[in-house]
Amino acid sequence: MYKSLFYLTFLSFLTLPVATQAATVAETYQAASSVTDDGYILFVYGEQWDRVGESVCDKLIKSSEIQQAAASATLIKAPFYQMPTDEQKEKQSAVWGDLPQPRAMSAESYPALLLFAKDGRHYATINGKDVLEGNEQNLSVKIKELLVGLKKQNDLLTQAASATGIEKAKLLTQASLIPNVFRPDKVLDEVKTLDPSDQSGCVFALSYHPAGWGEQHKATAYEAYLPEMQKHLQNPMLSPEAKQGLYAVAIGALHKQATYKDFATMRELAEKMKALAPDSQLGRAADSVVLYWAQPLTYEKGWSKKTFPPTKEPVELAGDLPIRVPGTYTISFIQERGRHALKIESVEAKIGNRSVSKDEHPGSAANPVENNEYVLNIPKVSPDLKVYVTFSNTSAESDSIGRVVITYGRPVKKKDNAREKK
Amino acid sequence: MKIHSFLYALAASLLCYGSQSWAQDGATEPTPGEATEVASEEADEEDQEEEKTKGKKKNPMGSYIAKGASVNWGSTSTALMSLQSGISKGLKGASPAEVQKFVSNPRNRLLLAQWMVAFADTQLDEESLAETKSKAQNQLQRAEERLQPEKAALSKLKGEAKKKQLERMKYVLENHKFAETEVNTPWTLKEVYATKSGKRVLNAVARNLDWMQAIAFSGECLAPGRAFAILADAVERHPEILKDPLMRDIATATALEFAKYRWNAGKAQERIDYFIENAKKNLLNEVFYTVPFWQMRIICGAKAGDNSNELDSPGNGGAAEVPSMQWSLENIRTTADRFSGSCWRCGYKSYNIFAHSVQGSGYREPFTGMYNRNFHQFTFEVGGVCGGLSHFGAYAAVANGVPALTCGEPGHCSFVVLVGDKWVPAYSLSWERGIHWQPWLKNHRYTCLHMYQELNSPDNAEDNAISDAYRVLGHVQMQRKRAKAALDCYRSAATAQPLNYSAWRDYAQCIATAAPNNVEAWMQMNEDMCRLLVSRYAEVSAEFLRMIVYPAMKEASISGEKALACVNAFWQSAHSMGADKWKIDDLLMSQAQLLGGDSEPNTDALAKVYACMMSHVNTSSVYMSHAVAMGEAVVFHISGKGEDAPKDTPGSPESQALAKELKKINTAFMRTPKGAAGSHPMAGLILAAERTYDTDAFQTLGAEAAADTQAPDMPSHEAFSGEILSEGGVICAKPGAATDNPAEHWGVLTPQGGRVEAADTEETWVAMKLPRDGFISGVAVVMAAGDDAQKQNLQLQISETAEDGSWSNVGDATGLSADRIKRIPTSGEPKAKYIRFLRKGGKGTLQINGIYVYGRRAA
Repeated sequence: MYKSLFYLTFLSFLTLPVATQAATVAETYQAASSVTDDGYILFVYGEQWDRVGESVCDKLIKSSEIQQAAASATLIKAPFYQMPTDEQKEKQSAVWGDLPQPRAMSAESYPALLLFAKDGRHYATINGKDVLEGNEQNLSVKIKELLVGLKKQNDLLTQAASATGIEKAKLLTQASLIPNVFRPDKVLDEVKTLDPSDQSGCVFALSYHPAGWGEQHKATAYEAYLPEMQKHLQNPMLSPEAKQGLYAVAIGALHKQATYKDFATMRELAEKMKALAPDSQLGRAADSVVLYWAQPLTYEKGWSKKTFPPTKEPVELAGDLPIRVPGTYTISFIQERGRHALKIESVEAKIGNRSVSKDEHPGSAANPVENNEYVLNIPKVSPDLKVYVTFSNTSAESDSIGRVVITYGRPVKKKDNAREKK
Repeated sequence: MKIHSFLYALAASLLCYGSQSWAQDGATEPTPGEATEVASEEADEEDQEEEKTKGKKKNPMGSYIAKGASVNWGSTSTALMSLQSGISKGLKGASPAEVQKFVSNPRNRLLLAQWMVAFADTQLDEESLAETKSKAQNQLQRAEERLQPEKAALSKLKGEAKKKQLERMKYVLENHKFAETEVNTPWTLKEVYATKSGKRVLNAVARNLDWMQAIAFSGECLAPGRAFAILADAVERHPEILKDPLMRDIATATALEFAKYRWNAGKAQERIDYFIENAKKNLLNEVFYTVPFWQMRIICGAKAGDNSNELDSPGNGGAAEVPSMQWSLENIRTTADRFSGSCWRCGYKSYNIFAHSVQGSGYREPFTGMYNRNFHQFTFEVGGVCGGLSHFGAYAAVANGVPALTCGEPGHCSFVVLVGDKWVPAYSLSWERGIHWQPWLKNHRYTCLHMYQELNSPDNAEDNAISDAYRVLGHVQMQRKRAKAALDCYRSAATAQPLNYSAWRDYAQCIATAAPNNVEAWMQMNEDMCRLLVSRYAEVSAEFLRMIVYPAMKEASISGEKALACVNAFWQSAHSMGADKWKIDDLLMSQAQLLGGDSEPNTDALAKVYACMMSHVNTSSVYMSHAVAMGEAVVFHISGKGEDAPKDTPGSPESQALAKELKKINTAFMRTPKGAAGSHPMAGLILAAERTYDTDAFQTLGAEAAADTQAPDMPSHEAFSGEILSEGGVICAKPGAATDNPAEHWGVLTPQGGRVEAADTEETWVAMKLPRDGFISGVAVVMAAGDDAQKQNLQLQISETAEDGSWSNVGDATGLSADRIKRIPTSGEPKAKYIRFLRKGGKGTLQINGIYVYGRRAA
């Protein structure tokens, strides 16, 4: 039995894909003997202006981990000069050869890994902290991903070459939207020709740009925007991140008109936006949107004109409340601006529907400041613990802005200077 | 050495005028020499000390370090008295030769610097300081409110929960630390000297000549006590500041700048840590390791916000917050010359993805907490407009140790980067720029930066030392209530080094304090400035005169005749433009106001001033083109059509008549040949405007001259996407051909066409500056009819600065074209301010009838 297991294991090793040709290191572009489909990776360092760049590139280019990740690509260490003289330009060009050198306003940060396809097309750049720190592990992963991306892109472009019409448009679009791999030149123009009425959604997917989308809808009302959003949410060519942008515009439009009743809808939209890609920029922004736009009252922002509900009801004091341990807490209301004084009736702590502490007395945050501190005894801290405030301000007396202060312990009694002197 | 021999003659003449105004000096007014008695024994001892130091190994920390610490910094008044006595003993008189001899001794230079620092400590404005302190207290109170419950929880939690709580508290603690440091950092030398670390540092620094001179004279020395307090705290963490010149410069420059702008002292410490630690790790651009101290002040003085404690709000003011700079150091590491284009890594976005405008809080709010104090990453990922993008570019450079700063332009924000020894404007739409970091407060003019640069040239060190010595002597005399003697000293300071802006400021302050109504004193100052500075830094002088001197003259009821003499003195000396173009019309209006007698200039005054200017600048082709273009605006103003037209007779028949007369004068000047190339009388002026890419002047002069020319036959061309971006720009051909007629240039950028010809050389080109930055989709060029029009190969290049070496190729038109039209598409819509067509394929001329650049505006 062990014997058969051994053979089985041996056979399975034999059937594994054999590692392709290992990466080769060349001194210059011209010196690269043969170039495979994995193209070139240039390890670019600042010559005479960056004290660490060259040693980082030396380390990386010699790293077996990087060489393995680079598959059969040709690795070249390339200098990049600051305000180069003619002689330095020549030295630089001697290494770079026919590969395009960074243009005046290109966005590399050095040291950088510039990845070129076999035909010299610049298809990706890796720079930033990982390169600066020479993090072989992280860079190996990125290089591998990009080589896979390049292969995928080339395969799709090859398929597209023999396809026609909308099918071709889709293949070109897919090839253009591979994460972190630069889009081939003039794809959008070609896709527009292939699918002039954008039946496939490819033109929209390729043209979509978050800020452009925002600007385009700067004056669109929420209700008018919804059908458009629903239509584009169905577009299969759009990435989850792009779809998050569609929600963002809806949230933004709602925020512009927001009344008390819109807060719940905004929270719902933010949740949907987050669910699409929780770790993306907009996924992470969803929580801030809820905190800053979709809550009438927060610890972080305090109260404002939008805080007061149309009918008298408790308002949740949302946000990251500093109630971390059981104990006595004082909630104070400090008015900063506004014609109307904030009037408070009660402050109550609840876990679920159960009230755990309540301080009920009339208080005023201005004109004059009177009994504006509320004491809560929190016996137990729970993620479900919520604090509610009931105000007596009506919507006609809502011109009031201020901050909420939470202090651990009972209110500190104001010092009576006269008594102290005695 | 530029000590002017006529100094004494001037001083003598000064003593004679306005004696009434100087009455407070008293009858026993000494001559400058008398002010300072000699103590030859001590001076000899000091000379000996200097001799002893010769031949010793050079100390990297300074050229001269005195033995022992003899200054009592615990009492500034005592310090001032003892230092003053030391200066008096060493200085035999106030003649240039004597002062020169005095400053040749390093011990004496140290005394002067020490005196200046002590003096600056006494100049703190108590009222505004109280306001600053009160604001800091409020911020601390807020920070404490946030910290209190978190701290209470921390004391009750254990293990993992405690760790988690600490992580959660990171920003609350940081915020509190900044607020607390701000409140606890002293402001005066007395307070600093009372602490152990402060005393140690003050004693160490005060003995070091180079260090003290840097503090006292490298720029503004405001609140030196605060600067020393920051320095002392930094030395606690980085003792190498006392031993390593680079670390010393980082800490000192940061301390001076944070004290100057009254920025948060805690953030000063953080910035010192940033530069020291990254310098030690060799992570900064090579430029940083050799910058002179004045450049270090620019780098370390990068805008640090408004003392805001809002850690999670990455507004423009927070561009140089340390987390933001650290991100830039890791992600925007590029060559010094490329920082000018680095802002275009970010998207220009007026609206964010939530469709909220950059002008409102909705632009940043949805991202609160995601980019804590990291403005750069925020702008990179979310976007911004000109303000955000320019702060991104400038402070990315600073983060890497390259001097840069942001600038305000009309309705726009740009930045400048120091590349080599040249300031390169970036994302700039106008020459009218005001600098956001000032060498001298209240002077925002761009050319001030150039003056500061020249002032700090090593060649000027000796003159600067003499000038600063005179400033100290002036202050000493003012303290003794000897205003006349003080004025002599300040004049000598300005004469010894006219680029020393502080000397001019002291000079004016002296008159304003001692004899504000002495017209002759102000006139003398005007004359001095015109004679010594106007020809070199016209804008700085103009700004100083119009903001300080003219209003004072007016307050002193200067007569019209004398005012005109002052105006005349300026224009007589205005031979060159200086480092850049400047707002001549602002000065003109101020001068007219000076003449006009009322709060607003009247037409008569304006006409007089303009005629005065024209009569002097007509010999300068550089000035003339700008003046003529500006003259059109003046005519427009006088005729009552301008927004700020005079209120006395707006559009009245008299004004109209005057405007007509002036227009005649203007046109006559326009058509006065200046011996420049071309047959048209305005050719010289047009070429002068082209050489400096002066769009306003080119457009005004070109349109006027084009009326005398005939438009060529123009074939129609196929447009590219976007709008035409080239119309309204300025064109330049190099080298100009003998058969070229500059009067035809203006038409080249218009639909009717014109003609421009570059001469027959190996490198022939025609360039143009777009009226505003644009993303270029393509360019159509209509070649002039001729034998090789269809054969010529053109290379299209773009640039942000038009500097040699800054051009990059973005397209070609090669091979035979069907007609005279060359269409050059671009790839990826590159952004450009300047466009250039290079003739390819060897020697030959380049003759163009029309240039049409298509694309979309960048801002």
